[in-house]
Amino acid sequence: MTLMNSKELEYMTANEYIRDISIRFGVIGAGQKGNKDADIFAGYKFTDGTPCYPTLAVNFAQTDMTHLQHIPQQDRIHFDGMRGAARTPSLVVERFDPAVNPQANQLRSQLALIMEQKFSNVDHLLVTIGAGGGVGTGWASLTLQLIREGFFPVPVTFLISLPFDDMDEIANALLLLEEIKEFLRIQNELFDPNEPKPLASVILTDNKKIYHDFELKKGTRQMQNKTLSWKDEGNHAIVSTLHELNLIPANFGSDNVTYDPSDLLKLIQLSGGFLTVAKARLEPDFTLDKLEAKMMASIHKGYFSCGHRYRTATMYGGFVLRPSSAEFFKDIKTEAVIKKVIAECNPLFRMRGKYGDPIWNEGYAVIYTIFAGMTIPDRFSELAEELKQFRDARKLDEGSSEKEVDLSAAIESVGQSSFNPYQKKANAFGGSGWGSGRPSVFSRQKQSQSQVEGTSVVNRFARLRDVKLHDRK
Amino acid sequence: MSTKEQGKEVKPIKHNNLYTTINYAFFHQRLTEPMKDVLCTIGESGEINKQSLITKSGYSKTLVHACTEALYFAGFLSIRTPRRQTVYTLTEEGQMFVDYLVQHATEEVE
Repeated sequence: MTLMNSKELEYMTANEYIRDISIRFGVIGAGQKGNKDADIFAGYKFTDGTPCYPTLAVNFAQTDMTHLQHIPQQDRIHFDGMRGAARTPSLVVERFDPAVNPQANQLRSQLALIMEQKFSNVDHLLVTIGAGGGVGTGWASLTLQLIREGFFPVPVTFLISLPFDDMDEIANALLLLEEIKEFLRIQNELFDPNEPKPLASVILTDNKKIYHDFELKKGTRQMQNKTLSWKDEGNHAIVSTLHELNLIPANFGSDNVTYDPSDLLKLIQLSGGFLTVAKARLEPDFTLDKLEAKMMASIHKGYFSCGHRYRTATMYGGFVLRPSSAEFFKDIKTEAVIKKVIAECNPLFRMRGKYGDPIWNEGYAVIYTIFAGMTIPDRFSELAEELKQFRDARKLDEGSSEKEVDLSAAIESVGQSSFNPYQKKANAFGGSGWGSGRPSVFSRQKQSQSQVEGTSVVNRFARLRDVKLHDRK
Repeated sequence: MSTKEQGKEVKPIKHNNLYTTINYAFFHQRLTEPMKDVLCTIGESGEINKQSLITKSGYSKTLVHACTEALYFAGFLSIRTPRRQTVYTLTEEGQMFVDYLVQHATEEVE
């Protein structure tokens, strides 16, 4: 039985529409939050009962994976001897770092083998994590490192949720986002706009916003006496929207403008930046005012919104899944309104994109809008500000002389880290080389290296810097 | 022909008798502080592009360019130009030269 966690998926399942998907995603969920998202993806099945997405759950804490419902036991990867990462991403990064862990290459080989078996037939990898925790954050950083090394034969997209109200988690998330930002900057220097990028897209969701959305929902008369888990409901809303986005181009056509699976693939694989999705339902009677208001609200207040900088988008896309009888959606004025809403976010001449209008037989319409290739959202700077306020408040409360952690210096050090070129796509998981390139932002290798006298590369050059040169006459 | 063009097409010809202690001493005599810093920065990074090298070394673009040209001429650097970038790494001879310098300095201290 397939998972039907949205009204649209219920309809599609009941009418046996789920026969194909646009992008064959392989899904890796790391850490507790990532595991939960991956578990939802694992629950989706085609009409013939086969799973839509090959999925792996990765965790350092076996108990985190106990309650997964759809990912079979053999696809839950737990590293022996580990009992969680306790909000310490370095633990994950170091475990896979040959300079720190002698078994790292063996672990990497095991990982390559598991992925090769599981993801032999995928177009794209979706890595889902919760930023802030130990395993998820560390895994995302490790993934960046592995992309640099050419470990993945297919592009990777991140689905990342941002934390709130927790200083440690916010600090970890900020460092990860800075690492991603720097990665994307270099990637965009190296790749032409028309080339698929190794890190295809980054989808962010903001837990603070989702929490408040469900808090408001709970306040409504309908929900007051029902149990409402904002985490579960939020995960389902996010993942189901992505699944619908992947299903509709492959299963619903149009007599006007079809949005093809290749259009979606292009949007996700070429943009190489932050991507967001907006979903809005439009009930009859259909009017232009209602269409404009619903679209606007979905873009700026939807579950995926987190202060995205739409002005920096390089690509857009989307479609209106419209009732077969609603000629309203074919009208020139309707098209003009859709274009107007998109152009208000970013003028159309500054982006490439396409909007389709597939047909279904329900009585209402669903509008999906995507912006891609954006720079890091404003939520990033807001989180940094929140962290600063937390620290200031705590310092005031404690009135102590506790030494403040200088996050800006940590972030700066990421920007100054060395460059490692991205390799061409390999044909299999694992790539060609191990352990080369720029260290993760969470790597503590530098400290350990300086402690091992005479054996490390860093020391060799540090000693060379001290070499006195001959006087030149 | 610029180094960039050289890096694309031409690989330094290796003469085993060129990279001897005597010749390393010759290179050492002519090594400048900026060249040494650039050598260290490239070595520490493993592989580094020109912009990052300028940023990390703290020298001007012109000086970094001059240093990389000289180190390339000595056969200590290899240069690649993937996708409009100029990327530097130390060659095997460059690594050996570093070993020589470190050892030489240690001997001097002793």
